[in-house]
Amino acid sequence: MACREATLLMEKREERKLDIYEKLALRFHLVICDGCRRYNKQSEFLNQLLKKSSLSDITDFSKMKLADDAKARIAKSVQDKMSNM
Amino acid sequence: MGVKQALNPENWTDKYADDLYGYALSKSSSAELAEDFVQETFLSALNGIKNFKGNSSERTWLFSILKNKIADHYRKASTRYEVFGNSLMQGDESRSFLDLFFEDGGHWSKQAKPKQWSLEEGNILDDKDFQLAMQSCIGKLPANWHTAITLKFLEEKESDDICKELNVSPSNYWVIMHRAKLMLRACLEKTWFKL
Repeated sequence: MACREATLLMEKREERKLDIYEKLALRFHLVICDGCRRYNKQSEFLNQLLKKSSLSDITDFSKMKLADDAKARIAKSVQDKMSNM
Repeated sequence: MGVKQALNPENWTDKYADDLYGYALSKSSSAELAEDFVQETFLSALNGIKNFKGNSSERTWLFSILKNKIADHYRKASTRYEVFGNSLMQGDESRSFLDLFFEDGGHWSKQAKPKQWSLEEGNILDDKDFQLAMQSCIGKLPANWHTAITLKFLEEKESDDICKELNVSPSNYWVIMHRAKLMLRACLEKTWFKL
């Protein structure tokens, strides 16, 4: 097995139980490949991060306000449109 | 019989612009784009003012228009995207995309082999700048990969539902997640870890 397949198995593992051959092949590949060992760790880290950001981001962004000049631009475009209706 | 809701477009900016903006920002990760979304939402709402039946609140109605705008944008956008400085087209990426990451034998290409990240566990999760870097990398993904990531993580949908929504088979779904992850990882390595 090569890195292309090993990294694909890591995604598959998120959704399905790997069968015994896939499991062993992946484990063996990780022993011999430092690139995939790093990828494996970083990929897990990204999964956690994405899960976590789903909670924190939405609350953070919801507190963000539109700048006053942007608001003025938007209000004006609404006004212009209304006066042309 | 409920009271029919009325519309007051002259108050929209004051009442809803911030909330719509916050939502648009969480989905688009670009202040400029989010601002455009808000403006377009109000303008389309004015165009469709006759369609407002008064069954929902003004606020709910405006949010539904915004959601459609964002979905449309991602449907149309990013047919072209970039990996390691190479511009690719969505749709014909099957071989060329993977070739940028892996050599013929399937092993990491020189430019794509993962490097060691210096992860100070814990802290990075609360780092606003890192969150933004991450959002910006997610924003660079081609449309359907972007949708897959958003559905899985932001909306916490099950993979079966995501497959239905994207109209792909489970094995196709892994392929999409695989590519999205390869690209996201490489983007963060370059823009955040600067390796």
